[in-house]
Amino acid sequence: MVEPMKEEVCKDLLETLNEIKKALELLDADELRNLSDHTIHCSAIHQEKRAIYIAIITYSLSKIIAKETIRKYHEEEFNDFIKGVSENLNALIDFLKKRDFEKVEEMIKSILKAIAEFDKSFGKYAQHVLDFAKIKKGAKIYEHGLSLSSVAKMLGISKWELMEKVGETKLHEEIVTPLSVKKRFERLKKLLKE
Amino acid sequence: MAIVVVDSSTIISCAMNCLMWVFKELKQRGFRFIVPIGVKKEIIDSGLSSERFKYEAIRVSKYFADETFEVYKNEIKRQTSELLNYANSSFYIKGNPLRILQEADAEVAALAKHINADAILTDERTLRLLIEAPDLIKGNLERKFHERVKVNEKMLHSFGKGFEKIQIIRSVDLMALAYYLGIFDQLMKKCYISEIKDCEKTTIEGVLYALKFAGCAVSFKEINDYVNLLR
Repeated sequence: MVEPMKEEVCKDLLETLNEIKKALELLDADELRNLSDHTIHCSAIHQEKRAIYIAIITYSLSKIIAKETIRKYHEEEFNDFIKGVSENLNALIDFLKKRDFEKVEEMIKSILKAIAEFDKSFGKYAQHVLDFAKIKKGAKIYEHGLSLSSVAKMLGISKWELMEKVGETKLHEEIVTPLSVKKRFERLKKLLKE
Repeated sequence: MAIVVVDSSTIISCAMNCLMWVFKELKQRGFRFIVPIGVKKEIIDSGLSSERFKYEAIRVSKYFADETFEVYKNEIKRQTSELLNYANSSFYIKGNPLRILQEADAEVAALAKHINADAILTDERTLRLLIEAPDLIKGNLERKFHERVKVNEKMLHSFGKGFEKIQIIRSVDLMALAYYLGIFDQLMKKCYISEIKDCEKTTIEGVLYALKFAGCAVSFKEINDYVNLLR
C-alpha cells in the first residue's frame, strides 16, 4: 500500500511540476535549478520522499541540459530523451491530479531510470548525475536544520558522501554558538584532569 | 578517565583526513571512546556500500578491531526512542512536526546519558545545538524555512534533561587538545617543507581547516581563534 501524500504537498507539487514541464520544454537549465531548490525547500518541511525525488530529477535534468556538448554531438538522442521525460512528466502530473500515488511512484521511478540510462551513455563523469544530485540536494536539506543522519537516510546516501559536500558550503559560518573557543577548550582540558 | 560517546560524523571527518591515529594516542592519555552499535553501522556498512568510501571504511574498521573505539552492544532502544520522540516533536512548521533527528543521532545522546559519559563527540550541528543551545534552533529554522516555527517547550526541555554535565566536543576541539598535549610534536619535527617557517602554526591550521572541509560544524573565525589560542 502506497502512502498518500498530504493535500498541501500535492497542490504545491502540481504547481511546481507544471513549471518544471515548461522549463524543460524551453531547455531552461537555470529555471530548472531554481525549481529544484523550491521543491527541496517545501519537501524539507514535510520530508516527503516523492517530492524530494522530484527535486533530484529536476536538478539532474538541469545538469544534463546545461551540457552543451551532449546537445551538440548527440542531438537526436538528446531530443528523444527530453521527449520521453516530457511525456513521463505529463503522465506524472495526470496521476498526481487523480491522487493515484502508486502510479505517481511508478512514473518517478521511470524518469529516474531514463536519466540514469542517458547519463550512463553520455555522461562524462565517474559519478552519476543522480548520485551527484542526491548529495547536492542532501546538503541543501541539511542546511535547513535536519541532522546529517536524517538527510542521509531520507535520500539513501551515505553520511560519508554528505559530509564531504557539506564541508564545501558556507553553512557553518552562520551558526552562532554560546561558547567561545577559549571557554570550550578550557572545559575540555578539565576533562582529563578530573 | 574521560568517557566520550562518539558520533559517526567525527569519525568520518577524521578518517577522511588520516587522523584516526590521534584517537589511539588520546586513549593512552586517558580517553575512552564508546560508540553505539548503530553508529558503527553508519560508518562501516554505509562506507562499504559506497565505491568512493569503501577503502575508508576498511581503514576505520581497524580501530574498532583494536578497540580504540569500544562498541556498546547493550540495548538502549527505549531511551533512544524516547529522545527521538522529544527532539522530533519539539519544532513545528504549519502544524507539521520537523523530524530533525534520526535514530542514530538519538542513540548517541541516549548512550551518553545512560552511561554517564563526560562528553559527546560530534561534528554534527543539529545534535550539538539541541544539547548546547536549544534556544538558538528556532531562529535558525525560521531563517532557513522562511516560516514561523512553533516550539513545544515541554518536549524540548525534556530532551535536554540529563545533559547538563555532558560536554559537546567536535573533532576540531579534540585535535586542538591533541596538539596541546604534544601528540602532533613528532609530525612537526619531521616538517619536510623547508620553506615553512612556522611549522607549528601551519600544522594546527592545516588540521583544523581539513576537518572543516570534511564537514565539521566549525566556522573560519573559530579556527582562527584556536590557532591564536594554541600558539
